[in-house]
Amino acid sequence: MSKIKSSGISLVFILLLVITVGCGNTEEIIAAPAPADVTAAVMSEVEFMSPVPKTIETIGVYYTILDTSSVSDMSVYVCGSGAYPDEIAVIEFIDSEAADKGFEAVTDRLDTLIKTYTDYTPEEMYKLDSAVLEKRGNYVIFIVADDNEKALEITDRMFS
Amino acid sequence: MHKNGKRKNSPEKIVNKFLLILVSICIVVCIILSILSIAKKISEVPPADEYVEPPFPGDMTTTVSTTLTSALTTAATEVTTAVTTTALTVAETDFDKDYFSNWLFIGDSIFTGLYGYDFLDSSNVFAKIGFTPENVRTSDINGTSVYQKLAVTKPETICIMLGTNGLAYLTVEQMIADYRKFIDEIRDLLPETKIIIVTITPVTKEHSDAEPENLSLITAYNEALAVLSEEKETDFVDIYAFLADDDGYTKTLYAENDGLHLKASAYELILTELEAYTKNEETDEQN
Repeated sequence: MSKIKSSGISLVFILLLVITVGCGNTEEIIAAPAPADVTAAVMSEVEFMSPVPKTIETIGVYYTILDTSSVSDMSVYVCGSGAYPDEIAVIEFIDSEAADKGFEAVTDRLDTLIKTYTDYTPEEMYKLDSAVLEKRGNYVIFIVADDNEKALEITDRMFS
Repeated sequence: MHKNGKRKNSPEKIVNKFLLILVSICIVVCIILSILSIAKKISEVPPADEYVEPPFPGDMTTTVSTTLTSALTTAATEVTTAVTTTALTVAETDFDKDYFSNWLFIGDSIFTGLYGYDFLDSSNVFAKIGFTPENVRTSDINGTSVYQKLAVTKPETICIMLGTNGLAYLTVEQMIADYRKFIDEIRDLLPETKIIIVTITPVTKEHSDAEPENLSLITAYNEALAVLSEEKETDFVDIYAFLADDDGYTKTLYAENDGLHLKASAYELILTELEAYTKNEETDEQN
């Protein structure tokens, strides 16, 4: 009798383990995508002009008030030629508080782009007027492109 | 034992069997869900063969992300194609990034491409979209004026490219007058520093026909820059000549889509020519 009970308990334990580890792991991967996967997915469907990937060492000239020590992972592309405001940044921070400050830094970047392109190339302003700027958990997402709506849809898909 | 030899199923055995079946179903469901999830992810992520490494120098390998866009792929393909088809007319590019470690490049959006394409460190570039010979002297970049930058960095060589933006609303004479003041102020601050004035870059025919920065204005301004360089005894490098085709417009290989700015390949050529120019000068001085 006790043998039957213990095997029953074991089966229930296995059942819970399978549900938690097997299915739960899939959920976690979808909810916390690598920034590079998000930018790759967006850039495969939305056009960005002359995108050049930036590293944690080279991002400072663009995101001037960003505390790079609080960044845990990132994927950022900036228009290399300076001709267009096109940009995509998916930045993951070490915690939510750092992400809040990161959001301010990215907002500052958006303000700079708006100031720059308002007079320089007004015909490009539609990209900035509809720019995507969001904080999702520890992530900050920033997209300036020809089709920001589509970019947002893809981003939503990657984070769902 | 039952009389026909089969074991009688007790309630515990039934529960045990039920649990076993339940676990089996769960495992199967989880496996199916995992397969579906993986299939979904594969369908969302574009195939790896759509991406290529950018045509950057070897010492500029990125560490954060190596996945590139289809846009960059297209650009790289265009460059590769152009290099292949015009191999006889395109100059070879070969420069040493470290050679420019004591230089300061001062300019407008064209020079932002020096760090924008990762060819130089941003610390070696003082450039901002919209800079002209007029406002470079009074504006700043993130609170630092050009004179503060010069005082801190004390570069051995200063390379200046300014004027493209002013063509739309300033006369050539006005810009040269401001340029002259700028050179004088740099000389006052750093009398021993070598100053190189470089010509502004060409534009495409489409841009020249439609925008204020047209070929005749660019030519007139560059000629005036050559005169200014002689007057102020600075060095002078005609970047325009390297980038223009036989008609004076930007070679397709180097032109950004807007017809005014430049692709990465243009910067490789500019830096190669600047390095060659100054090295030749050094050799001449030694002889």
